[in-house]
Amino acid sequence: MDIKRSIGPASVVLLAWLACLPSISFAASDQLAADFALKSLEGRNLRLSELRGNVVMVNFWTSRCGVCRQQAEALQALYAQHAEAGVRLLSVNFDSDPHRAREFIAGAGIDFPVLLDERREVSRLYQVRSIPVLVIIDRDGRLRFRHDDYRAGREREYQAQLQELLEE
Amino acid sequence: MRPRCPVPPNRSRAYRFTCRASGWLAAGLMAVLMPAIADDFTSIDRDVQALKQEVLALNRDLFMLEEELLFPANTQVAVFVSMDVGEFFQLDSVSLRLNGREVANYLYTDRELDALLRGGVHRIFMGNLRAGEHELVAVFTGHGPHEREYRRGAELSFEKGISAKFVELKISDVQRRLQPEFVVREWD
Repeated sequence: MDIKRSIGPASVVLLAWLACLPSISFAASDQLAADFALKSLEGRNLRLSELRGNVVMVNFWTSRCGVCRQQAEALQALYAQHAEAGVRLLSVNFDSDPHRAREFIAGAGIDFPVLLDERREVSRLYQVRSIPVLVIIDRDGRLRFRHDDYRAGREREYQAQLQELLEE
Repeated sequence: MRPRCPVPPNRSRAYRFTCRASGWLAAGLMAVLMPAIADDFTSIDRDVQALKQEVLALNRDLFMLEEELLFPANTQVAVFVSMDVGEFFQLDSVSLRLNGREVANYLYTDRELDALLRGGVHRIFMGNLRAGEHELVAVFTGHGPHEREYRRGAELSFEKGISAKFVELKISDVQRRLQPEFVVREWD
């Protein structure tokens, strides 16, 4: 009987925890970010490890995600503000058709490199299960922060984390 | 320079003497100790440098040990990419198939191409193969003369013996044909 009675509250707690999962951001200070190379929309190949020495933001998105546009605009503003201080941004698109990414970019006024992950190898490497995802990598190439969703105002948190990594 | 001692004129001569003597003593001590302190710092710096060297050597030994364990010489196969000149071909990627299975697909960045053109050699694949006949197919993609998209394959059948096997994929220019050439060859 006791067990049955406790199942109710336990399931509520479990559901609440599951509902919170997408918004979890964590610090993984010792994990080296997996290296990758992808072709950009302009046709250049870019490799993450070549940006060592900079604080790097990598965001994963598709053109079908509405909130990705809001995040892209927020990231564009952050990138413009911190680029001179040594912040780089790689935007990984995993649409199967690169034309969609092009249209998306044209509408959002973005000037950071957009990389095409048509085979979804990098998205799998970074275990992207929801979109958008943003990871922030420090100057030594360690994966320090990860955000598995975006809500308006989140950029303040991104900014604080960038500031922290820039000051190290 | 004599050590100055702010002694009021109404003080005794003994007081003045003591004050000056302590000044001389302090200056003497400083003169003796300063080189010793500087020596200590130099010695610490030397120790730190020696420690760094030891860590680097240890790291190298560990790396070599790991390679030997993961890829023993009797099964080891390594494939390298090199470039010569590169006027007629700008490399974009190399895809490698070994016995029909894709084992590497590598995109080259501008910096890596620059390193290749300066004589660098890139190890694109390292793995294990048992002794016997094997087939290697390399597909090069990039831009050829007049910025045309270029895709070319090259293959090699080789016999793997009991020693390590090294294969080179060499991209070079053929001036008389104004075309790139892709050669797959075994290292002796």
